[in-house]
Amino acid sequence: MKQKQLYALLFLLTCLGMTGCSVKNEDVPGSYVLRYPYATELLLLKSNSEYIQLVIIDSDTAALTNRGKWSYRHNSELVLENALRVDNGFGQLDSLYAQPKQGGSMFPIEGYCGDIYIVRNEDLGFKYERIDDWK
Amino acid sequence: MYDYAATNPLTYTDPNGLTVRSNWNFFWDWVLERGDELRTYGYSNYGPNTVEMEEMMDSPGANYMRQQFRKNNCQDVTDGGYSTLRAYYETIMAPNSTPFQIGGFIYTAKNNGDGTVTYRVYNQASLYSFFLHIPFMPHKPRGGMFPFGGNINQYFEWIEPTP
Repeated sequence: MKQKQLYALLFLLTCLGMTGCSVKNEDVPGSYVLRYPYATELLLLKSNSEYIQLVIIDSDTAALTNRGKWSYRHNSELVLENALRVDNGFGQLDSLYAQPKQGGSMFPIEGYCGDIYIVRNEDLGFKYERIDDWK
Repeated sequence: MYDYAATNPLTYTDPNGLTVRSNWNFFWDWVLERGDELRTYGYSNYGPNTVEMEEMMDSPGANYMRQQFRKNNCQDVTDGGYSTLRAYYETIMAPNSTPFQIGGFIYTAKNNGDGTVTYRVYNQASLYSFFLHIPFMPHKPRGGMFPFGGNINQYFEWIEPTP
């Protein structure tokens, strides 16, 4: 009986996880914000495949700006070329956060009830949240 | 390791129960805030030949990283995510395994330019992740008024031939 209850719980959790929907390519461009415990990051995805990354560290008065190309693959994944990596993976400021990383950063994009989120670090709850339709 | 896994490591067979025990211990380490707060596997104190490390290298998550690296034309992946939901689907059949304990993670894949690639996996065990990312569930540092369920950060690193 307990095993049945466990499977029922797993099935319920699986159903809950499937409530999202895919995001179309034309819906991706726009402005997004991600608030870290120590910084704020704005990500502007322009419809000409360029992005602008603006990072404001709480303890610093200057803002960092980075630009590059973005693409959207398989209706599920955002790729930023040579982006800044602000967090070290454990919720702390990366020691090399000011240097763009050469290569591709790949983030899942999720759509829920018309809202779009770019998942930066699911474990830490870091998601870019859409703030307007600016393109 | 291959023999240990009954020549079929992809099924995560663990006849002696080593990872059952280690994952059970990990769970209580997390609940009771025991042991190291940062746990590194691969090129640090746990060594490259631990069962946990081998299981991670053989995991669906590791295969996902390899796919993503190939999709990026074997160029560096500077930041990538293996989602919790996907991890759940792909590891639920082996709930005593290290990949199930880890769940989703973020990763980097660096092309070393010598025919090898370095994979790094970052994961945080927290109340937030344990309760499947329910909003408002905290990422609690260790200690404080409620000294249970404080964060444990886990880090895996290994080098292998470029796929």
